[in-house]
Amino acid sequence: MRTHKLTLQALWQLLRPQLNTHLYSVDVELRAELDSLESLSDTESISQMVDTLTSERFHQPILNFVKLLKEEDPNAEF
Amino acid sequence: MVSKMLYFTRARRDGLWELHLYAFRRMLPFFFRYDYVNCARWGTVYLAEMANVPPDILLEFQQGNFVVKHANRRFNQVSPDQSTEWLNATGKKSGGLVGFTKVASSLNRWTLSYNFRTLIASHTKQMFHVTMDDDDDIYTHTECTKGRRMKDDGDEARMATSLKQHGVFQNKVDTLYNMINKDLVTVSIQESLLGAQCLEKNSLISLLKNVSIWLQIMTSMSISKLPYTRIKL
Repeated sequence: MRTHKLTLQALWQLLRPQLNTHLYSVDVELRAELDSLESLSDTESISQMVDTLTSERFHQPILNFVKLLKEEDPNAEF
Repeated sequence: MVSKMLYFTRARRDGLWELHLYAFRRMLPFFFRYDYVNCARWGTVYLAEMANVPPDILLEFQQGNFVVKHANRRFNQVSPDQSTEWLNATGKKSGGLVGFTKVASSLNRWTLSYNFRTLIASHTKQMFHVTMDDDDDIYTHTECTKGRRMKDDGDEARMATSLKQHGVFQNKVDTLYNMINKDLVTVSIQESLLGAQCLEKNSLISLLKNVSIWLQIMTSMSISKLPYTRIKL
């Protein structure tokens, strides 16, 4: 279980630069908001980050990103 | 596939009923596809039964009472069948029944009185202010300690480096390939792997409908009027 979890996290580490590029092209304000929250580590910022990441505003771009990824590369889809 | 397994695990550990059903439902097509016959048929029956659960039981499940825990901490709940395995283990090790008795009547007395002895032990500990219940603190979880997080971060970084060296998400290829030896798969294998979830969805949906209809008929009729029938799935 731990191996699977770490592999998934490592894979998303590799995808983060591509996700950042996609968010810059789709919603610059959202990207800026996530950038500012990323640097902070207090409890309130973490809960704000969680709220932002679970909002519909982030949900749609991430779905589009995953869809683009699947279309370009079947290995990413797998 | 991995994310579904993680959702399922989280649902049990945190006692999230809707997530438990969602994750299990998403796993079912894979049981059909990869010939896990028993899981496929009984998993379907399980889902249909859970859709027809009485309201008072559903309320209990939604409050998290479909899993149990030993200590008052976070993210430590397990299925009841897993916890009974733990109870069996307490009997089989030193301090339980091993080396103590093989007589069936003594064994029964030990088993049937276990809950009372546990209650007495718990009250005695409370009397002497020695308790198993820690404060609800996330840092008491073994995976949240500083040492464990450093180990996980190090392992994750090493794995990311290794994946990057093998060109994962960098080499855009039209076919699935093995990232170690770069072997390409055939078209049929690619379709089978990528479409595993969708290919079995139709058979799963039709089976779920049939089982659900059967369950509704069973619950609407009184059980004493029904002859015994064996349903083949």
